[in-house]
Amino acid sequence: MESIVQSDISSRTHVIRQSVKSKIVRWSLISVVLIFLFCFLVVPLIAIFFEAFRQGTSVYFSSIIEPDALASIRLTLIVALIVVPVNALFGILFAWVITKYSFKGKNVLVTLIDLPFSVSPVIGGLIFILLFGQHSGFGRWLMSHHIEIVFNVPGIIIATLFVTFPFVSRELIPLMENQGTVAEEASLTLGANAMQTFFRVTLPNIKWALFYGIILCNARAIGEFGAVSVVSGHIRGVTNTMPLQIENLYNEYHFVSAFALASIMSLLAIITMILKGIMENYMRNSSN
Amino acid sequence: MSIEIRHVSKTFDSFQILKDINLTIPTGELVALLGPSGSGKTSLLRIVAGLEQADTGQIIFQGRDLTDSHVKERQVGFVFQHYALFQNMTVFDNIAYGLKVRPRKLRPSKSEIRQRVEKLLALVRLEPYGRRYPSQLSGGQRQRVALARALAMEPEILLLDEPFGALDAKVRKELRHWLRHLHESVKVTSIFVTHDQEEAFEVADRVVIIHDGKIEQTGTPEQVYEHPANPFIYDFIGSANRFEGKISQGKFIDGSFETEAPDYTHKTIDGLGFIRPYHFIIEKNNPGKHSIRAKIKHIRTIGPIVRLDVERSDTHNVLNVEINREEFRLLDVHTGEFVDLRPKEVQIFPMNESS
Repeated sequence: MESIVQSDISSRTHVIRQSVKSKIVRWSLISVVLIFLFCFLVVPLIAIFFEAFRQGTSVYFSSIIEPDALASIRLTLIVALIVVPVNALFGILFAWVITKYSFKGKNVLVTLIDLPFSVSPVIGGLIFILLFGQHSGFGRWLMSHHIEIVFNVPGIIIATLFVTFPFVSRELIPLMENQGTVAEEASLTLGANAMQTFFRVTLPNIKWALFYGIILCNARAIGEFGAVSVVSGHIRGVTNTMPLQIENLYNEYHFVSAFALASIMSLLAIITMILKGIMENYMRNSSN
Repeated sequence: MSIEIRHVSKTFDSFQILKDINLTIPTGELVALLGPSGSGKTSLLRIVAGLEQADTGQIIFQGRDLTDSHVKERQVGFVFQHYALFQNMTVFDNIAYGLKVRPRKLRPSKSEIRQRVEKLLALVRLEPYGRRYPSQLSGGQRQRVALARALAMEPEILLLDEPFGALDAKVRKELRHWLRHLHESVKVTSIFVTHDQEEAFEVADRVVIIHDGKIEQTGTPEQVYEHPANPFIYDFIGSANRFEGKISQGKFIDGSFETEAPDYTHKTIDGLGFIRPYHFIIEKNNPGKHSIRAKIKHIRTIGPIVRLDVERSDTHNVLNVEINREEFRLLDVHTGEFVDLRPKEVQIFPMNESS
């Protein structure tokens, strides 16, 4: 009897010691993570705004409303406005085909969709230079008909499409695979046609994942540098997107202007992250 | 509306799931497709609905060949095993869906839809639940919503795919009675798929037993139960003890046990005998060649019946025997004792058929 009590006490102290130990471990790990995040995320972010406002707000705003800067902002928004809807539609179509039909070569297709993630964006850009530039017959044909894709806005749009096309379908495929086709079948047996089934049954079931994919796609479309840099030709005020314009300004030692534009991109990124957080919450709630 | 299935075959990845199925279902009949899982019964139902296409054969509704027409044109009500309710819609909207998606000319007015849905909610006894979402309902309630949704378009054919498969035993029993009752009031031609023989026998006018993509037997529940066409069916519907022996000159012999088999008088062939667990008379100390001597291994009481596992003294095979509690009390036997089992009824099949 006594020995049982004894061992009970000793095991209890052991548990306490364990929990103290794990508390120390826990807090030290958490602080390491926090310090890391602070150094590598918060400090640079503050630095951007600090540098941008170094010479006062009037310089900040004048460097933003400077024509080339405005043109780059406009171009970036135009690219995003075209690329995001196109890739959202394509992503839905792709996920639909992958999850609702079975056919030969499906696995190859699923692997191919990830290609833009695994290939360096610079190579992505080069592919389009080779395809539409004067090195290829097709490119020369286009030029002879005064269709200029490379070093022009269409080239930037195509390169951005290439880089961002997996985002939406990557979000949708696992979800749609999980949901199966039974709700769609039910809709068909109730006399609905394919369009009605898509808008009334499929879309409501995937809407949060779709928004989420669109947000990620949008963030990348705005921020893409590598592929766009290769195809754009860096024509100031014409083919410079925001990231390219920032690089140009920086290389020319216009630090305040560079950081001012960078601060706008950072703001867009922060808004995107906040939206993403909200979406994630909704997705979790709707899946429960 | 009558349903005619003519020479339907279907192959999935080199596996033939349906082999030349022929079945006619007259208007207003409630038919159960009964079979073990993987027998092809669900595929057949989906082919009738138009959710899948047969490789060969025809599907005919009331004389109209609909083999190549789309699900939408067949206008069948289909109830899925896992309900397949639209999660993003209320119960009311789920039921109204089939009416709302109709082309404008055929669509009833808003107030007509409301009336119809309310009538259906009353029919499935879910009046207070119209504004709830499917996730807020129990399994049994969801399945009733699924039924109401299928009935909303007033189909002349209702197809149910293991409709009660995902529910617990008590709810399943309730819904079974309710479905039977519903069928009597609506009289829509119905096919329902199940692997539960009790369910099939209780609900259906006619039972179709499917095994390995073929129809093994068709008949009323009584016919199928009393006269199983082959050993598979005997084994499948209700538990049975299986005896492998020889049929010779009007007798079936297995080990030291023999019984009359007057249908097979001539040559000696291999045969199978089946005895239902409740077709035994248990006696103490009454050995003979028409009895089986066995040792009691386990005794389990399940509600009003007592189930005994006994081991044959000659072949050491284990038999299942069921007697009612009263008999068991009078018999006064215990684990480890020897008893003599006299079968009241033995069903004998020659072995050359599929077994």
